[in-house]
Amino acid sequence: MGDVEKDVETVRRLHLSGSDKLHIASSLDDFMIKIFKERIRREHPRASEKRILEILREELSYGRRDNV
Amino acid sequence: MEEEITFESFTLKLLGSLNKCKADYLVVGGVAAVYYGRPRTTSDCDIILSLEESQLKEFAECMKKHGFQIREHDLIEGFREKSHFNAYLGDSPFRADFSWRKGSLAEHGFKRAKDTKLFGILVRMEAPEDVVIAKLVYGSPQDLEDAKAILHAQKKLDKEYLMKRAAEEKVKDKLAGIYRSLEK
Repeated sequence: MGDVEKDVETVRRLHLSGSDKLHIASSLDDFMIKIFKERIRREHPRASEKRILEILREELSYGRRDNV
Repeated sequence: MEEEITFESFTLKLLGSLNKCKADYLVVGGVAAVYYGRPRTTSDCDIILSLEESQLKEFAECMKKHGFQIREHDLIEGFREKSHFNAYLGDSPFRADFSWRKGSLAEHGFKRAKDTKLFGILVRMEAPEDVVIAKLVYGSPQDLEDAKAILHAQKKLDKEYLMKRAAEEKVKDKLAGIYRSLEK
């Protein structure tokens, strides 16, 4: 069984609703953002919070599909 | 100190604002894929808008009133060129990614959309079959995993419709491939 199937089986076992799944996804996103921010702060120790947010938004936009 | 905006609060605020601004919209992309499939990171909320040019100014003003940073110029240019435009909220890194109702994917999406309760509010969500077809058409590894998760998680999909639409969008082989991999 692949990772996707395992994830779906977990969702099924825990009887997660669509909102529950989005709640978990939100926690994952928030955790990912914290890690990204920490790394950016380390790489740009003198950057202001505003600049860190700019870099973060830039990084998050890489790989996003804008041609749909 | 300002309260931190989580992805959940961002999504809730965005969809609530779209409702309050009386926008004709459809939730698609990662949020729909998570809703029907399994939790994964996304960090943006993809929305297809169906607006007339005469509604753009009022829409931009209404969204701004709800705290979203929307550049009217980007919105109007985006509408005319049918290209994407974005909106941010406060100092949140999360992004609303807006596109326009155009093409067969969006048309089918709007026609079969479902009113769905999400975090307690009613939103217009793309139907799972149409999310699968869109993901197969876009075809990145992430998209194909999303399609697979939905096909695995949703037991009541309209298979006949899926096959018909997959043939129309020339992704029948991809759909068959995923079904085969799920049978293993």
